[in-house]
Amino acid sequence: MLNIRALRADQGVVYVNSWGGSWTDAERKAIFDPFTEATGIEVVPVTPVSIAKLRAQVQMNDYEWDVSNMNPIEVYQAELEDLVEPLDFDIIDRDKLASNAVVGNSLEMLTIATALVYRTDKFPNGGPQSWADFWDVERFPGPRGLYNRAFTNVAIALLADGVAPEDLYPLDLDRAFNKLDEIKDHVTVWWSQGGQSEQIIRDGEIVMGSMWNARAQSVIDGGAPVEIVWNQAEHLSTNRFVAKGTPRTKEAMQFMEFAVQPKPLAEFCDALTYGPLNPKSLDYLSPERVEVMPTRPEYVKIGFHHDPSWLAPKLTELTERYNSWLAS
Amino acid sequence: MSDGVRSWLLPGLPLVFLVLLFGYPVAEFLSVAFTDPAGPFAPFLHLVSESVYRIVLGRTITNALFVVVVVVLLAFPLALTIAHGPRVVSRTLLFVVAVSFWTSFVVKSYTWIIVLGNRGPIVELANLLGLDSPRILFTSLAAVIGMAHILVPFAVLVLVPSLLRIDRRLLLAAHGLGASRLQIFRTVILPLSAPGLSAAALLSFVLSIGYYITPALLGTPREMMIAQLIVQQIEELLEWRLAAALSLVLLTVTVVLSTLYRKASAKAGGEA
Repeated sequence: MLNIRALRADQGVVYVNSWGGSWTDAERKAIFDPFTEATGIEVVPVTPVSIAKLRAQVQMNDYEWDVSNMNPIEVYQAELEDLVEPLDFDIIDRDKLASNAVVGNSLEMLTIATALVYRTDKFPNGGPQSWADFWDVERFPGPRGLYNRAFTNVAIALLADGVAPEDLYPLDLDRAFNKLDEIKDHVTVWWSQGGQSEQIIRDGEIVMGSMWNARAQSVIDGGAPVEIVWNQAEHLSTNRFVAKGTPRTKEAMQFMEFAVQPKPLAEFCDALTYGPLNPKSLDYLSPERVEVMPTRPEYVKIGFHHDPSWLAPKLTELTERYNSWLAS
Repeated sequence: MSDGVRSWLLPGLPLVFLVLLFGYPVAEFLSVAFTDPAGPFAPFLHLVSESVYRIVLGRTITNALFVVVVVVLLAFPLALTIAHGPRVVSRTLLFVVAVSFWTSFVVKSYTWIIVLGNRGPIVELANLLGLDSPRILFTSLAAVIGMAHILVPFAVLVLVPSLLRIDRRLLLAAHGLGASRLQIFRTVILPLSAPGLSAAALLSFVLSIGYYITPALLGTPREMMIAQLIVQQIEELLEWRLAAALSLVLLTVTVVLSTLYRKASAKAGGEA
């Protein structure tokens, strides 16, 4: 249906890789529809986001989507494999971008925080405030959940062991896995799907866990007694980029520029409470909403970042070690 | 059109379809395993040298065998009742099995999250009895339960036709000659059901060994199954050679075990 409609459009079409569900709903309202209105270019969302599909597309020279959004580690992986089209500044107007927007051949869109969250009803005298507290099973007893992602868990283990956020890289893997040993048996759920993370904290399967901030917010907005700890939260951006060699490069570049403009980005983040990385977006957001976004300046200061250039080439090795640690 | 051509056309078209759209892409993907610059067998050597792959493969086979046992134990009485029970009961059961067969396995997996979860009936019953909340969700047990639930209708639908072929007069004859119900079951029904049972067991094994979404949703990555590892190699790490090598190992194990099993059950059938 959508494809037929797209073919009929006079001004062309751009296929945008998207996560589906509430993410795509918010994107359609805040970014896709206004873009079509402004340019006449139809936007067709294609789900799910997949770096494997990107590689297959480029190898086969057959494109299911033109623009994607991934975290900087994945973008770095993609750049290493030569799967990213260079930004075309004949089409994208540099003056319309925030000064921090350009990262390699991608444009920064927003920050997702993977933060410590806990059930306030389980800790009436105050809950955990750091990853060290998360590791402290005597002071804060109860089953825990962690996002099953190797580099996230390795980093928070080092923070729990007292490493300062600015000294995280290069990651000391031996130290991290030793620290992870301590918490392993207290983690009852290693979640992999966002919906799953909501369910386990809402239903009290766990008393605390790591969670994407907008997922946690949706649980809180649903009335569950849950609090987000912004201290030592992982800040990972989502960047947009164009698939190398797609025949719709022109439309894709136009879309890229539009998608990081203050207003559409603000409207997207208003729906999902991820933090817009265009500072001017804050002008379009209420202060209460900004308070639950990771890009609030106070939260940025106490969060931590990864080093994609160190991490991306070592991802396979790290994940293998993590898998065998987890399985044994 | 000559008769010769016509008689080939009917089976020939689906065959071409299968080879082109299934055989070729699968072979193409598996051949990726041999394209490592470090040597055609480098990914396989890697699989052997890293213990995690052995552990996960072993666990996958064990889990699949567990699933087979549960599925056969549940499906056999169900299929027997459908094949030889009273008409009303049999029709109702068949309808229930068919509905379950048509229900998406993703929906079924999510249903188990509710049933086995912290707010589900099992935990509530335990709490009512003053017991500790049993932890079933996000364990291998939950994964086995979920997979078995999905596979029971498959097994029933394989079993029923084979059980229908059992001549009722044999049961009457055994009864007339003074055999007890247990004796009838042991000496008549069970041997005659053997081909159907082994077909159902084989189908359940082959289907469960490659399961991805159900163990991912209900189980734990601490005891992950091999399909989860393959997906991770493809989707996250872009290690397609390793993924292809793992897939080839899984395929080989499945084919070898199925062949051994077929031979064993054919032999047992011959002796019976």
